Amino acid sequence: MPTTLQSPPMAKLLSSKNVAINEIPAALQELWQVNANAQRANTFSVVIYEPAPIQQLLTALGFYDGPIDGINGPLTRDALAKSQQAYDLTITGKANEVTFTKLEEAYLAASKQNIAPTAAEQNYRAADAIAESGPSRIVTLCATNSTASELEAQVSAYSPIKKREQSAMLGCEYVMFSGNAALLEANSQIVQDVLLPDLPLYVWWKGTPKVDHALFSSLADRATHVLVDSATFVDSVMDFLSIPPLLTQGRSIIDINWQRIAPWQELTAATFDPPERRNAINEIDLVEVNFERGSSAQAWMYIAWLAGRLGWEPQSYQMVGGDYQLRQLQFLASDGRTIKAELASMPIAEVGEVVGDLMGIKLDSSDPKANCTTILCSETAGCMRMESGGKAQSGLVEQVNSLADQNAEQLVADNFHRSNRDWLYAETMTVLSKILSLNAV
Amino acid sequence: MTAILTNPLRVGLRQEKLPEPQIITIFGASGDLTQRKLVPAIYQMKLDRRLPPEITVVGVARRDWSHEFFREHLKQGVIEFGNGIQSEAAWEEFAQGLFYCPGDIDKPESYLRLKAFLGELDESRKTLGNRVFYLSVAPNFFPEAIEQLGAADMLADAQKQRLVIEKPFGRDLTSAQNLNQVVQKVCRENQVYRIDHYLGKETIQNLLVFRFANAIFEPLWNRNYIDHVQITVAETVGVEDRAGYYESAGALRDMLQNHLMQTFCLTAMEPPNSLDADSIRTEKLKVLQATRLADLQNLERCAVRGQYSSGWMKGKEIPGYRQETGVDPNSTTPTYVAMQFAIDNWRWKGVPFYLRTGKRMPKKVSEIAIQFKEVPWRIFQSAAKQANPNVLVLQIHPDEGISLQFEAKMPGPDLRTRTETMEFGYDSSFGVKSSDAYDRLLLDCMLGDQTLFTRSDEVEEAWRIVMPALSAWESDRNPNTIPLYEAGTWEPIEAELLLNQHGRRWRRI
Repeated sequence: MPTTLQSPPMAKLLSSKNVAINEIPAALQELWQVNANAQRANTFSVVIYEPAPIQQLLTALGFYDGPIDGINGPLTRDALAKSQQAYDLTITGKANEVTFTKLEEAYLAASKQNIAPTAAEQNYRAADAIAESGPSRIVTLCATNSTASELEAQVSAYSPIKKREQSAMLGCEYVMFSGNAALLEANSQIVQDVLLPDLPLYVWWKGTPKVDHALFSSLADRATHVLVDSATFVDSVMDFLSIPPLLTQGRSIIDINWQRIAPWQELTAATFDPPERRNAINEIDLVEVNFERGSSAQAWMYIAWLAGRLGWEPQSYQMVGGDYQLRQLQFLASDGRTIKAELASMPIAEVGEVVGDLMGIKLDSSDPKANCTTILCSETAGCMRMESGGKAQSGLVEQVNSLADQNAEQLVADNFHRSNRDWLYAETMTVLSKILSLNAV
Repeated sequence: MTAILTNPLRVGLRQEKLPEPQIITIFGASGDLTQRKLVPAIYQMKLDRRLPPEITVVGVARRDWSHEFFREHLKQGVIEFGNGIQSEAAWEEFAQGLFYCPGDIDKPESYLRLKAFLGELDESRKTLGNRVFYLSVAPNFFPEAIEQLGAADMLADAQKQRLVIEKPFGRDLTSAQNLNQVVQKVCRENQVYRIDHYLGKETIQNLLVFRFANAIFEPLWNRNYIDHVQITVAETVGVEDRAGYYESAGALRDMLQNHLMQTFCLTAMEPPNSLDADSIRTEKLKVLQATRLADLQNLERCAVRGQYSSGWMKGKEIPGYRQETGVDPNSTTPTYVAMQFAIDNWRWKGVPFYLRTGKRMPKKVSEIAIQFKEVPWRIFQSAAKQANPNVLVLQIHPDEGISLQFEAKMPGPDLRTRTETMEFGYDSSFGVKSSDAYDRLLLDCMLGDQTLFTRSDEVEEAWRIVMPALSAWESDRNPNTIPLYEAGTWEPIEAELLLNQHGRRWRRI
């Protein structure tokens, strides 16, 4: 059952305005002097790196009048739906390829005709999970197609209105830098300068984390956590290889896509909780993982987690291809068993907001007498393919009511106050790197 | 249970919040609780990576111990009463955070010295001024210690400084109100953690989940379908070596006013708005406010006390309560209490809640039994020729779990019924023992989550309910009026009558 995210009410403290880079501190200070009953929350700062300039296109074309913050909240989705309606596209409210191309075309056409987009009064109704979690300052870095040689900056301020309001309004400052990607990277010092000293910093890097990216590494050095979403990795799985080095350098990387497979991990573990099934865990030697076509990241993390936990040593990995783009893997267990695993990508009509969600897992044994057969499948897919082979009769079938398409903003916000490092993720990434490098040889 | 290996897939899945670095200061640190429960629990949490490395424990007591002596003393405690040291290196690291600061609970200079010491530790252990003060001292020292802490300005920061009090919270309504006033003078309610370790038990928490995460039972959870509720906490032990304390407390103060009352609240309360501490505690308070002893005009018809006399248990002769060492031979202290509560609200009007607790019972068992109404008209014959209403049992001890009694058809040509049970057990489903209540509560306190702690108004309201019986009993010092029951039996006959007068019976468990 999909739940609609409701936007928390927000009070506007300062309309968005353009300022010169060196005037940012003054502009922000002035803001709190004007609003006597509001003060800045003394909590943490968030940096959002936004490589896709969708909000800017929407603003320029007059569909969107919210803040350019890189947050794909309800307001942005409304605007996308409006634009899709205007251009006769399927109305999804999601930034798919077609919509993006259409918006770019329309933007180019508009700028040729020299029609200045109307600067609509920025009426900030909606916000999102991140704003509601009460940060002190959100710094958004928007990579654009702009050819300008200097970064542009905007500031604004809003305050989420909480149910149980404290005496003063606790507001959040928004600072937005835009410029082309190279310009942003070259100006990492400017970004550093607007970060609040002494407060924890969380970075949401909406792109592939790259150690050699100057902006990324300067932010990662300061951040309590860097959040990434492997569902959106550009090169898909090979991008995972950049994560273990980051983790060994002591940086805390949190992949929100990793958290999307948590219900699958939980149910997998739960099926082996009852004592009478506990030892059957060592009989597993066949694993099938089905996932939505588009990103294999979740499938890889799941299999690497399973292998890491059960002490399976990666032996081989090959891409077989075919209709299901099969990937076949072999592991060696510590007791000498060979474990075969297969990752299959399922073509599916409506993938939803998140691509690559897990659809089905089968844990099985080549020994027909083994008591380890477990089938997990999500409601979107059904268990048909998994149940074939007559094993359903003897095995345990569970449906994962997967929280399909867990909204990225909510997942990101949930991570702000986490203070311990996820060693399980680190372990999984190490195993995954091992598997992926098998193919490279 | 011990033979199966841990589930490797389960490891690391749970992402717990980590408390901030902090100093736990234990007053009365030379006592058993610190050595046997508190520090072993903290150490185990540390081993399980549930605590930050900066965690620091400071023991305060009158004896003149050194840090080293204190560490060795606690190490023995972990070995003897905890899960063992497990890793010598881990213990060494942990022990670096254990300190001892001698002091007298009634001397202001002791507090000033402690305050300075904690300040130094903040520097060396990087604990950022976060403090938990745990009062593990005799209850009559509570007001003194709290006032002194307040006077030394050690509870001024509502965000960073917390106070933990163990039961009993007062010994009657007046003293509970006095204690609450003392507390409220020096700190805010959100700094105070009143530990009732019963609330830390998995089954008690599961009661909330069972009631409010399942749609099938809640519609039945009211006067239309429930006949009555029995809450039992039975112990096999006698007064042991606690006669000094127990003589002045008795079963009502020791068990019923706190443990049974909390269990009662969670069974009877309305659904809370959310899971935050105050939503739940407000609902608990509401149901307490609607509760009274069932028949205030005839107390003996709704409140029964008892005291064990000598008897036999496990083939051994057991002395009676009055023969125990340290007990007055004419003592009127109850070792058994049974009460009938009535709740005046829409959900429960007319449904009796029976609570009983006692020492030297035949079995150590704790449970909540919800007995549903019988079918309106019995068309089947029971093999045992008796009425068998459905009973839902939430078992707290032993074998934490839930079972539901229902009627099933016996195999054979005729339609005869027999009572069967559907059972759920924590052990068999999760394959793990439910955790010790103490570590859960300590961790919640360090995290600043008050959900499982009792609020001052709850405490006072719980006292108000039992006061009529308490004052009637306390004013009657005649040793011949207190009903006796033989050790190793369930209850005095008067307690049987408490239910029999309504045509009901205590469950034989």
